[in-house]
Order: sequence, then structure tokens, then C-alpha cells
Amino acid sequence: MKNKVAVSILFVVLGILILLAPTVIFPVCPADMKMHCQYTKQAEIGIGILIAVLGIVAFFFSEEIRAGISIAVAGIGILEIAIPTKLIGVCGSNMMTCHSATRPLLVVLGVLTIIVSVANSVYLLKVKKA
Amino acid sequence: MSSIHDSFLLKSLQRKKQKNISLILLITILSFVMIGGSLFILVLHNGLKGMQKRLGADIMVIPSECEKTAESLLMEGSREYFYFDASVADNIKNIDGIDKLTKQFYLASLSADCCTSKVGIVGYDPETDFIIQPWIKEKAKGKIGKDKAVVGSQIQVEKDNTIRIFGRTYSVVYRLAETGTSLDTSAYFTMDTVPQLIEDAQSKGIEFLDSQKNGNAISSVFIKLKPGVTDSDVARDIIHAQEIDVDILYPEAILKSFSENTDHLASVAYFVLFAVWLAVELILLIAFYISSSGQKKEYALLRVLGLSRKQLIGMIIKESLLITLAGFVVGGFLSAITVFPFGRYLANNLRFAYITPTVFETVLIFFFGLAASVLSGILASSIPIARICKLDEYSALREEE
Repeated sequence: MKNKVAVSILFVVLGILILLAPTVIFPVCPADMKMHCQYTKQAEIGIGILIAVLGIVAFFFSEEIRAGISIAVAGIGILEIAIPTKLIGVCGSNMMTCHSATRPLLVVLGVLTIIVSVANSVYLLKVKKA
Repeated sequence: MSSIHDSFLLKSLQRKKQKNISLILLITILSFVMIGGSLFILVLHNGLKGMQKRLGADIMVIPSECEKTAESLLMEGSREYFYFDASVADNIKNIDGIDKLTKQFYLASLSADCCTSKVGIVGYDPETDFIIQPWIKEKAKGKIGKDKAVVGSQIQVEKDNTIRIFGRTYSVVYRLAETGTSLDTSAYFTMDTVPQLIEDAQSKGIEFLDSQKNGNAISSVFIKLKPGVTDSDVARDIIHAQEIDVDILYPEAILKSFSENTDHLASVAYFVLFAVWLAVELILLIAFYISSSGQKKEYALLRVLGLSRKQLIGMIIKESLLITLAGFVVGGFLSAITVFPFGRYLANNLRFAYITPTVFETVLIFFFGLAASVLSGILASSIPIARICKLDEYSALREEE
């Protein structure tokens, strides 16, 4: 039960933080300028919502399904990092907030998402079963 | 035998979970502050070094009443520009005591096509230049000349090694090393490219005075003096040689006040590091003192059970090493996800020059954090070690009865 609550809350918090990173915490460039960071923001909003929803869904299911959800979230975490760094990117100049703050924050949140989800799936599949 | 010791050690650590978690937390704070603080000091010093090379001139001649603008251009990379006639440089050329002289032209820039932030456009003379040259770190991809550019480290270059400025494409010959100053966000062109840049800029809506358009305008003259020459004497001769009013800046003097500020900041940082270390060390010492008082009987029992003093001391050292390593891992991880990724953002906001630390410097910073944590742990464990050395097993066991 402890694991269920803790991981669900962590996923929801991480999802919300990913959603807030490019919109509220370190907002990207204004919407009237169509730049990379704008598209990154839109993609990350979707990813943040997805991770938060998976966190809520995980609460209602068995250990095996929760392990599966965690593996999926780890994959989404990799995608979450790839969007601002490789797939879409942010503005080129490191004087811009999207480059110097939003992108590192998204990468840090992505790394945390991967660590939490991988640790949780290992715990559920190996430790708990043993 | 050693595996029995190790499993005993782990069990003993688990038994004192609460105490150990608070010790780990202390070491976490210590290593976090040590890593963050040393990165801050390193960034300050690297920024200063960058600035020293950046202001490689002894005298900067600028149009009159532009002192403040020129100063903020040098130090903060402001993008407000000023102009005077190129004849100023010609009048100075023959003054005694001048070793090197080079002129530069600054163009008020819109966001150029290549970048999302403002790009400083600088016209310079590669024949006489000594300001940009020290930063050129790579092999040339061609010869600098008309329609060619040298770019700062933060300028985004297209895949075919070109940049677009005001709708025109220029091929990039050199890329400069990171300086942490306005050099990073500027693009450099030879003086014969300047009229074309002005024309393109005009077509994008930038207004110019006629005097700026005729190709005879420059923004500043940088002068390097011969050794032993007094700068104020040369400055006086420069002012006398001009028909128009000019202002003189001494970049070295600006740098001196900047360097004093940096030193103040660095000494505050050193003090904070020392204060945090001292506070953590004192708490550790007190914690080890209290816990070792309560463990006297345990030590005596272990001695009676056959553990030598050496083995007992080894166990204490291992225990404190495990605690400090755990604390360092957590503290190091926290600083890796907070201090390092957001260093540039913080530096931008605090108006510090930020030069990304090299891999070697990063390793060194983490090593320093590790050394500080481990040494503090070992120092604190000297209290139980001293107790063990002086331990009288018989009376220790009797005392507790």
C-alpha cells in the first residue's frame, strides 16, 4: 500500500512539474514568436499530463500492472528528455531562459522520472516477488 | 573473518538507523554546500580570467559622453552603440608610446536570423586586431575577408557553416572560445563588410545617421601601450591630437574594480564554506561524542569477545566512511541536478560571466566535496577511537551494571 501511494503521488507530482516547467516555472519565449521552445512546451504539456494520469491509474491496479506502468513511464521519461535536447530543441542562445533554465529543468525532471520508475519496477518485479 | 565483521557492521548501522540518517543528512548538506560553493568560486575566477583577456587593451578611445555606455558594453555586453569618424584612429597612429592600435565598429542589432536573442555585430580589422585574436581556438575554415564572419561561442551556426545576418548569408571562418562575456554573442566582420551590413540593417528598419552610412564611422579604438609608458600621458596626447571631443576609458582600471568585487564575493564564499564545514564538524563531533559514551559497554563486550583494538578501530572508521560516503552520494546527486544544470541561468541573472566548467574541473569539484565529507567523518570518529584506545574493559562493563 505504501509503495502504491508513494509512487502514484511521485508520478503525479513529476507530471505536474513537467507541465509547469515550460509554462509557469521557467516560461519559454512568447507565443507570438514561433520558435523551437514553443513546440517543446506543447509536447511537454502533453507528456506531463500523461505521466500524471498514469500515476493516478497506477493507484487502482495490481503490482504487475503497476510495474508495467512504471516501465512505460520510464520510456516516457526518456522521450521527455529527448524533446528539448534532440527531437525539437529550444532556442540556440544560452542567454534565453528556455535554453539556460527550462531545458535543464526538463532534463532533471526526466532523469528523476526515469530513476523513480525504474527503481519502482525493479522493486515490484524483483524485490517484492522474492 | 572480515565478512563476519562486515555483516556485523551493517547490522550495527541498521540498529542505529535514526542517528545514522541524521548524520547522513548532515554530510549531505556539507557535500552539497562544498560542491556548490566551489563551483561558485570557480565560476567567479574563470569569469575574471575571461574578462582579463577580453579587456586586452590599455586604452579605449570612444566618442565623448559615451563612457557609461562603453563601460556597460565591455562588462555586460549592452547593445547600445556609438560612433565617431574613422579619422580619430588615423590621428592617434603616430603618437609615441603606442604599441598596437586597432579600431572596431559596433552595429545596433536586431535579433539576427540565426539567433533568437540580439547578436552584437562588430566590424574589426584583422590586420591590426589584438582583441579577438586571443580567443580564436580552432583552425580557420578559410580566410577572413568580405562576406566572411568570425562568431562567438554562443552564436548558432548552420550545418553548412554559415550564419544569416539581416537576410544575407555569411560563411563562418572561425568560432571563438567561450569567454563568458559579450564576445560570445557577437559576430565579427571585416571593415569592408560593414557598409553592406548597414544597408541590410536599413532594409530591416534600423535607422542610421548619414555620418554612420558613409563607411567612415567607427565606434572605438583600442590601444596597447609599449612597456613602461604611462597611460595618462598617451591619453593626453590622444585628446590633443583630435579635432573632435573624445573620451578615454582605461579597461585595466575597470577590470581592477571588477576584480576587487570578485575577490570580495569569493572571500564571502570561502567564509560560508568554512562556516558550514565548522558547524557540520562540530555537530558531528558532538554526535560521535554522545554516541560513543553510550557505546562504551558495546566496545568492551566486543573486546572481551575477542576483537583486537585495531579491529575495533577499523570498524569505527569503516562505519564513519560508510556514513560519509552515503551522505556524499546524496549531496553530490542533489548538486548534480540543481547547481550544475542551473549555473548558467543563475549567472545570467546575477550578471556573472559564466564559463562552463571543464570535465577536469567538474571532477575536481566533486573530489573536493568527497574529500571534505570523508575527512570530516574521519575527524569526528577520532573521538570514539580515542575512547577505544583508553578503554578499560573491566571497569567499562562494571560501570554499566
